[in-house]
Amino acid sequence: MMEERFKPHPKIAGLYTVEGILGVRLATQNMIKGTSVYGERLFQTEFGELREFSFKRSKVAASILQNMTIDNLKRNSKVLYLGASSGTTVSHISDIVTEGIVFAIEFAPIPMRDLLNLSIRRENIIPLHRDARYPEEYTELVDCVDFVFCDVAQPNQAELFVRNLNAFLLEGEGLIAIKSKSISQTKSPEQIFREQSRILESKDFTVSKSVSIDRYHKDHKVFRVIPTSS
Amino acid sequence: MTLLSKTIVGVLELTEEGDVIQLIDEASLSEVSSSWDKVITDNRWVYETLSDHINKKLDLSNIVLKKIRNNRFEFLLNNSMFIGELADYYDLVREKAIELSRDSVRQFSQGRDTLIAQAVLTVDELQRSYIQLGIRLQEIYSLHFPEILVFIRTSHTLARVISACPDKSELSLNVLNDQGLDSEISKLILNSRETSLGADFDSIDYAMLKSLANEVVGVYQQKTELENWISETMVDIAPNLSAVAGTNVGARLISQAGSLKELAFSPAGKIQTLGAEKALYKAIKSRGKTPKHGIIFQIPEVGTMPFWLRGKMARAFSAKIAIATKLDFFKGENRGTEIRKGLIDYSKTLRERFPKAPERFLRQSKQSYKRNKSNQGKKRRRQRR
Repeated sequence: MMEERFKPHPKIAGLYTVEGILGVRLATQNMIKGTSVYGERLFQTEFGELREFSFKRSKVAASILQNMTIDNLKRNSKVLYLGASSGTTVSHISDIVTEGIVFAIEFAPIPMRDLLNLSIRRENIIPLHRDARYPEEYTELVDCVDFVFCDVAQPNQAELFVRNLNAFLLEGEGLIAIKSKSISQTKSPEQIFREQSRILESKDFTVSKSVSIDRYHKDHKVFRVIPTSS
Repeated sequence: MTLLSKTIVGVLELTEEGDVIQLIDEASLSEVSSSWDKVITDNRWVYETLSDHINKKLDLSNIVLKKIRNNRFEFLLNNSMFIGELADYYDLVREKAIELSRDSVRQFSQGRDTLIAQAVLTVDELQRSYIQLGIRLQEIYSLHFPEILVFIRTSHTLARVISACPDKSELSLNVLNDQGLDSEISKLILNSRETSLGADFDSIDYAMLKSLANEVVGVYQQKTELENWISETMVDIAPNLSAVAGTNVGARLISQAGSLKELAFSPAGKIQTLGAEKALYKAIKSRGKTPKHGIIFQIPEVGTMPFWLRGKMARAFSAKIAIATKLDFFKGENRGTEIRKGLIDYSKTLRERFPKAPERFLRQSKQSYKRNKSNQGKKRRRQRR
């Protein structure tokens, strides 16, 4: 059996690559030793205990594997995560931003229970049971952040993403994973992505890069949005 | 112009340039507000608390307010005695966020409609295991006494007989009568023992059969109890919906929609195809015919309609269900029975007006079916390329 080799990720500190028989995978340093959050594999390495960051379950991991540029996910970053669900990806982001804060917004009550349990154990997660469509309802708790990720599978998610960027992004970047099937069943994915990209372009923000993660998540595309001035 | 930024310890009042005037306590916001004439805020709560006489505006992209949000801790450090360190501030925010989220999740769990939605799923699961266990029991028992299956078809009755007396040689008229079988059938069962093709078992095997039979009886009982509970609770929380659609279908609709609120805010067209999502999306994709009914097919009046009238009836029912659910959700008056009477009258008139399937209807449906088939093929071929 081939040995698994572990290397730090060249661009993102706190992220590691695992090269093994199944190809390249990602992993993050486990903040709470010995526990796995959703049944993912743990590796004992010279970098400490690593948790596998599965591209099958996380769109962030999938887009990193597809060479998406991410500049603002650092040790001391503040992150706003819209559509945190039960916190699979959020737990990995909290591994990466050990000295920062993750604001995790989720609207559905049942995944919110898991997220609450997760945030009690991980002290850099701030869970909020709010509707991401109305950022004005959580401005008193959420600060301006460096990195916004949006994965809410709503027909109008590009609009709500722009609203959140307007409210919480001064400098930094935002990533949005758009699923074409949740916008329209009949139109072709290319057409939908073109329309959505037009919504994301505005006076203050521009789309700087987009990658398709169709390989791992069907009919998904990730857009990187940055403030126009920077 | 005054800028207001809500923070965790109070509302910051700022000048247009972003200099802090004061930190206002949440409770005294409306008292202070009389001196302002134009206000910009970034928070829904502040916006709604201020009286309508003030010229107020909700602006999320206001750059001054945004800068405060970027560096809120330092503004608070200078103006509030509550916060001394950055870590303290985030601890405070985290505690507050967890507390708020806990409350609202708890509130969701309190709704009895969520309980019903879960119970309906449980009934389905119990039904499935009752059928499967029942078939298994019949298979096993047929090794011992295959002739009984000719007379007892329902696994529930069979299970009760087995649980009372698993050994066929010990069966008696009394035992069978106690399980609700009439005496003629009981006599036939007892007579068929003489020529039985089944083998005799050991006492340890009978104990196994008995416990399996008890399991089947238990599952059936559990299912019945849960169904009774659902119908009682449905009459309690959604009297109109239960009267129009029946308690079972009503509960299923709530379960499929997610909650009573979701159902009350759904249009009739959505209610009509609730539960037939797969067929609906397939039809939309291939531009075929959309399904006529989903869960509401289980309403006897819809399901027993001849096929050329089912769509009409489903349409009428879904429209009235939409009205009834809105009455229930907004605690309106009870008009369920009245609505249902109207629907039954309508079904009678429909049957009178269209006694036979229209020729046009038959022809058209065949054609459109063919067209759908060919379209699907084309689409698949196109995708492959």
